[in-house]
Amino acid sequence: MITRDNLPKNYIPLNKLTVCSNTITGGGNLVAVGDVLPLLIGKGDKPKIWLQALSDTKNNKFVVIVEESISKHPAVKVYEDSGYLNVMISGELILSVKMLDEESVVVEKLDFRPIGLNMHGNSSSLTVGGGLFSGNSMSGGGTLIGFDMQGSNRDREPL
Amino acid sequence: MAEMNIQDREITETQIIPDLLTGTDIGTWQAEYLLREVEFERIKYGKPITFNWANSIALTSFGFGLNLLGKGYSDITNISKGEWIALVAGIAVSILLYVIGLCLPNNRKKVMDKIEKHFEDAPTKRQAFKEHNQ
Repeated sequence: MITRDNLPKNYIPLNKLTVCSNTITGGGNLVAVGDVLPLLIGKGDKPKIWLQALSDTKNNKFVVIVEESISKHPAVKVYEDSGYLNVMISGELILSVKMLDEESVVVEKLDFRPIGLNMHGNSSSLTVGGGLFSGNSMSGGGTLIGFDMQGSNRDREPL
Repeated sequence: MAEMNIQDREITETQIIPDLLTGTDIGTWQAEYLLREVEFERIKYGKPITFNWANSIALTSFGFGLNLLGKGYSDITNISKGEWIALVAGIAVSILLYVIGLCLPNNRKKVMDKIEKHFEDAPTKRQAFKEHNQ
């Protein structure tokens, strides 16, 4: 599993990651479930994507389904289309990413409900559980959205 | 849970979303087989009864054969002609019952083949999204 303490060695954080109109600067992440980072987008000639899906809802275990933009699961396809890098699961688009320049990437579409996370969005807003995020910014390398698995307050600490 | 709308803000700390997990997982992507009660009954009792008889007689013949082994180990002439006939008859009846079983309709096998075919052909697909309770 990819966690905050176990990042892939080829992962280089981006300076600017825009997800459904929300901007994360300084190498931060979009979402964390406990310490697990379901989505990582890193620097590269093309955006490097790591994506994890819940494989066991009882124990909140995750399995890597996309590793460095390569599918690791038979139902998952990663392909390029008109400048976008897309991830599809059983015919449904769950992530569409565009590289603006070497330091910045934009996520134009996201729907992680098929992989166990209650979040979806388009270029104007991101819906997470009962919350709607749009036009926000976060800097300093933190994580924008968290789910507290063990009831610890780690994610609530000011960054 | 109350709706939360966060717009055009400078966020400095992680926003904890309690209902982030949908309750679905990647392990349940293949369509399950809907086993009906009648199929369960066929699995339980659908095997031709002659297989059970063949099995019983084969085991009895095997035991009888071991007995003959003990009796004829030092001198094979200790085994009488009738005992040989009984052994061969036991084996023959067992094989015959087994062959009859193969010819009879085997509902258990039909259901098992159907289930096997389902899991070979059923495409992997994502589980339907479960709506969370607001």
